[in-house]
Amino acid sequence: MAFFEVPTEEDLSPEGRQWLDELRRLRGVETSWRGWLTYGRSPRILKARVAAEDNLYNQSSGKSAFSFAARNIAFVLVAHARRCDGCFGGSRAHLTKLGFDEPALDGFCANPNVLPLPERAPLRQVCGAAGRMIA
Amino acid sequence: MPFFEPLREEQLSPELRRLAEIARKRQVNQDHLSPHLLAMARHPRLLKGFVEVREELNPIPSRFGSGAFIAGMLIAHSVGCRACFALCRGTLAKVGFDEATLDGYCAAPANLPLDDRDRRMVEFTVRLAGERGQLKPSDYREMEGAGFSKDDVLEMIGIAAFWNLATTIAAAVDTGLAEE
Repeated sequence: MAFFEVPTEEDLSPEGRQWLDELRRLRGVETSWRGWLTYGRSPRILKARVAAEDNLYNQSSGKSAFSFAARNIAFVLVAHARRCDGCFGGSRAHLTKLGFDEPALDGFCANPNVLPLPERAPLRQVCGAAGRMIA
Repeated sequence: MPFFEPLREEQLSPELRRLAEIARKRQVNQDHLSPHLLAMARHPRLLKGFVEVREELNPIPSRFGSGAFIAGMLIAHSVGCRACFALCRGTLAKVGFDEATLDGYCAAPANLPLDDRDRRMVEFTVRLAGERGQLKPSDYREMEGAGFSKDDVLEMIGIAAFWNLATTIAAAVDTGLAEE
């Protein structure tokens, strides 16, 4: 049995449901990842996640200086460096939807210092920061 | 000359001023906004994301009292974030921790002279922040066996996540504020 029980949406408080709805809206998805539902026990975590996604990553209500693809490639490499399966899978799924094939994504992970992208310099900085954090 | 030029307080928009006032309450010295916050204000979403996430994941008051800041100090120490380290030390000093005690925590983080519940909370939160791939379900069960609820564990996850975010932002901004 898992340590955390995954609640149904009906089990969540109105505040938890509100932030879950907002997270789905930001991500443009209809279903909720089980981790989001688990956070729903603690609506503060969901609310923080929404604030971080909206302001620091997705920026759906504003314009980012970087393409969605570039942000997700940074995301996949940071997740890879930190061995976060959930984030790794999520960012790969975003990139697959954008048209990147599996060999291309495997290549990014295998050799993050030589990314075949025009924006590779800023990405290297992001990956370098991640590397220092786990060193 | 530093890479980042912080805004002056009078340059802040009303929305940024609102966020800055929330942030100011967390500063050790509340006379002036920190240069880190004023540098972040050049990219308002960065300041907004940081301030809003902090209020939710590292609330004051916390169910863990000073534990959230002891964990923050040790996480900042382990990743070399001077700004977060100084903020945590200053906050803990304000509530009565002396320098020698805090030095002792940093020197021997595996042997913290805290009561059992506080020590477990701090150690587990530091592990959540730094040993993500190595924690096992049995570690969670051990915390449960020691009297922590699932909501307690979720709050520790939030605190660990906040200090990971904060140390990433603060260390990077700190570099941009350093004299070349």
